[in-house]
Amino acid sequence: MMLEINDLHVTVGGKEILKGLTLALGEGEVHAIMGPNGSGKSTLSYVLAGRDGYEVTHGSVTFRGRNLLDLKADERAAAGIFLAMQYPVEIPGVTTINFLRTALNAQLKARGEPEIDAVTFLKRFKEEREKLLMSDEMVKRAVNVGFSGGEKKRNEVLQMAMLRPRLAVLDETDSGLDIDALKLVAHGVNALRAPERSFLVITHYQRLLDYIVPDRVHVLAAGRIAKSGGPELARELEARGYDEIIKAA
Amino acid sequence: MAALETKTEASPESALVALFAKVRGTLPGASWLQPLRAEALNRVTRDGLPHRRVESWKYTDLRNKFPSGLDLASGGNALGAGVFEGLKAHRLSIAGGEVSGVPDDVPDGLEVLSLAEALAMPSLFLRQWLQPTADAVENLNLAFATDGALIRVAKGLQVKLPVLLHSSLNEAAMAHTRNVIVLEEGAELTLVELDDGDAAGLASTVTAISLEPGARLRHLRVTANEGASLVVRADAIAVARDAEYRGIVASSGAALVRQQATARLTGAGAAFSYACAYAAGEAQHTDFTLEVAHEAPHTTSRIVAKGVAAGTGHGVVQGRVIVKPAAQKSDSHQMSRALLLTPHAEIDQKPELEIFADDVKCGHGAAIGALDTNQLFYLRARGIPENEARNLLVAAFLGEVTERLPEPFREPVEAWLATRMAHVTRAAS
Repeated sequence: MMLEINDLHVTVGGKEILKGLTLALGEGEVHAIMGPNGSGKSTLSYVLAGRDGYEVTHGSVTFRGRNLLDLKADERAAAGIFLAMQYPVEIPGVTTINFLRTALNAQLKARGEPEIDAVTFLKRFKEEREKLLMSDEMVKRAVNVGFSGGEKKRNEVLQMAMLRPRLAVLDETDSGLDIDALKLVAHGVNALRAPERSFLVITHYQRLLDYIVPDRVHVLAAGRIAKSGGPELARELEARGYDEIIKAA
Repeated sequence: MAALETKTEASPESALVALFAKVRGTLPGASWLQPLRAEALNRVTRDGLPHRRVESWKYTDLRNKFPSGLDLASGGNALGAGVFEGLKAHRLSIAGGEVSGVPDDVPDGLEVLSLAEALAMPSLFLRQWLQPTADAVENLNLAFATDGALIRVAKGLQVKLPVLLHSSLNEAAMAHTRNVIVLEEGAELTLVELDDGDAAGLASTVTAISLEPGARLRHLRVTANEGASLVVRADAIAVARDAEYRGIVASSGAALVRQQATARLTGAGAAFSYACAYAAGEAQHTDFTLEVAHEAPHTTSRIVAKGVAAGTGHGVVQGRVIVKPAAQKSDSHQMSRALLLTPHAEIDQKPELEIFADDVKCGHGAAIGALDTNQLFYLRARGIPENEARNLLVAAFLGEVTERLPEPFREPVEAWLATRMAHVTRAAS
């Protein structure tokens, strides 16, 4: 099993956001988490990535047999968790290429593996960025500084492709994307689908799931999974709206 | 009265007077210099060493920190080449207040000499730069100056290799050195200074810089002194018509560093820029006090300061810009930004503008913040450990200054700063 979340309760600033969330994600599977605003989608992504300020009051999260909650954010990344953020952060003064190389080597070091040499890194980096139609000039700029919304999301997928996580959590990666950018991002994600890699795709809209077809769809409402089903559940949600599905659940 | 007398201990000023009586016969200089030295010391004892009630020393108490009872340093040799090992330059080393080697490979038109040797000759032209002033640091330095560098670039000469002044103090003593840098009309030079040493001493350097019309000086400095070192530097810069001064300073490591720069833009089109990066860790105090006087029209000045403080570290940036009535169409801007890495660190920023002309553009800005937690999380979520992430963000923050360093100096300075940052941020974790 890639990820097992059991009866997870999380408070943020004293307020309980996740109220008994249970979820199991197998190796190589793609699950979608859908839900209305305020249902706890981003809280789930942050608590998995290990952000400070998200207090787990009850429950467990097991990642590939390890207690994930014992690990710090950087240790989780080294263990194979990747969070593609809804709002990628701008880092003035640090170029994307330098940032990624530092990150990759930090992960390799944490896993006791040798660092990647500059030539191999640059070769892989060039391949991946070309797949995402990102220019050389763009990755030599500071991380996300002056990037459009779509460029920032592509940069997240580029990082994911370079870091090759075991579990990728995509937090509203589709928000703010036009259809061309959406296809490009989805294509990048699909290219990474593999038996040893799982995805948790968090989204508000069904549109992204036309391109990244999930194995399972979960509806998150009021801090817990209200309903689960196959890919058809996403279309049903789109057609009938969250309210009706949640009430019926 | 009796009570007062019994309370009187040997003040640092009276210790200086005693020292002067002991060493004055050994100090270099022709007869004209001796009364100037005595007058300079008189002013120090009259005004006292600077303390926090003196406005320009509001955040730095030199008198309180002054290491009383030190003798003058005894020369010796510089230890290694420090940060700029292996770089090609015309090198002049000053160790313990004494020039220990002058370059012999200089091109025609460039003079790099020991000031003490120059003073042994009837070089009266030096007199204009060896006068008592209203500044305590300059006066103290003049009284005791033992040596320094005299650099003169002839009219129109563009010196290809940089001149590197390496000053070390490795004994618990006082070293007072004085440099005179003259770029004649249209001359160009890159001057690189490296200060180091880790003894509990006082290293004081006063540098007079004169840029004649159209001259251009790029002036880089790394203040790398460590431990209990006290470092006091004062630059007096005169920039004539269409001449340009560009200063870039990186400072971290010593217990107390005070760097003053006083610039006068005396001719139309004169330009001055000063960028400094500092990192003040546990028990480190670093103070930049800058003053720029626009005295002629169409003059420009830029000041950029970026710094971090952690632990009990304390950073000070004071920038004062004066625009004289004649300086119409002047353009001045100063910006000081700092990061506080821990709650007890201190940063003081004081920009001041005094404008006496009506058609000028003057701006200033100052900001103090903490590291951005969103940025920190972003880096950590990609696998970069917290301490490394913090160092990366701080280096990026200081990058606005260090990226101005020309190659081949940028890389060694950034590498040096990274090792200093690792020390400074340890206090933050």
